[in-house]
Amino acid sequence: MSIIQVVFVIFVLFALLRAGSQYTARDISFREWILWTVFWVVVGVAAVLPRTTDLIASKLGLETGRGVDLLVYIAIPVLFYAIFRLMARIDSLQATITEVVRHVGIAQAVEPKEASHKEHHE
Amino acid sequence: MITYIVIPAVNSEATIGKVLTDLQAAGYAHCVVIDDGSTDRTAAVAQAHGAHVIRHMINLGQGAGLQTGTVYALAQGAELLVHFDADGQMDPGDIATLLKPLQSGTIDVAIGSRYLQNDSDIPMLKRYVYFPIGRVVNLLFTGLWLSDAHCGLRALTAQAAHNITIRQDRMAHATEILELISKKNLRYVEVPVTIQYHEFGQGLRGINGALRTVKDLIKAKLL
Repeated sequence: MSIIQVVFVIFVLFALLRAGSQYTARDISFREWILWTVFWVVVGVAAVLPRTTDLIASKLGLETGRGVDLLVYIAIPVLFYAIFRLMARIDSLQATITEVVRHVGIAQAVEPKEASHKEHHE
Repeated sequence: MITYIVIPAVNSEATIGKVLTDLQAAGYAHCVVIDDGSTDRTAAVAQAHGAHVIRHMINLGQGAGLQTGTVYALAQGAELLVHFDADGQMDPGDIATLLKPLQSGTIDVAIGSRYLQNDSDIPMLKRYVYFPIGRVVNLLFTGLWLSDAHCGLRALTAQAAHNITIRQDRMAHATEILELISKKNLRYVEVPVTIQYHEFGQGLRGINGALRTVKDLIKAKLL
């Protein structure tokens, strides 16, 4: 096993432990825990047995037949989607901030000292 | 009819006093100043000049200011609302012309246009570059072809104001308002107004602002 594989395996074990402890602390749901566990196990298998990804790549019809290429092809749309989700989230946070600032502003609005009664009539 | 003038202001202590005095002299007693996170004495000056003052604790942008002022004015019982600027470039004398079609009950929104008459001393770059681009962007996003896409001076009935909820916090609200006018089938008219440009002060900042506005509009379509 090469050094990079050892590093990957250690990281995967660490990530699995973190996911487990987050689940026991109820920071993540059971579904999220399963998802993360599956994800990290797949990463671990790919690190220890890189040939398996090549196998999947050629099964999926990648001409190069390299697992690394498959990973890149999957990663790009996933990252774009993640950015899209983040932008949407930031927008909704901004809208919430606006609402809060507006609410506080209106609640603390200062009316004119002498309420003027001359209304504008055309 | 009870008319509220909605004035978003940021760091406008130098101009807001005169703007309010002129508005009151023209007969508009109900002025709402939304101090959008100013670091100067805008709120204090506005208050001293008899305005309703709402403070945004942080700067949100002109669109957010208008929406805050609208929510407040409607709660106060406004029947007609006017969007006005704090920089002293607008003429309170134009408001009566804007309100006239609303008072007759045939129109929901009156939009000021710097183009219908030639009194505004519009800087060349604005007249021949920003405005034409603004019109095209407007047409693309709203389907409305107006002589002046982004004049900040406009008047709305309370009913129209209820229908137009501004979600664009920054400058894209001008296009958003037109989009909502079109979507909600509101009756609108363009009315000639005069804007006095005190200083140009646009340059690169103007271009950046315009690009940001287009980005906001595209983002609103996608998200």
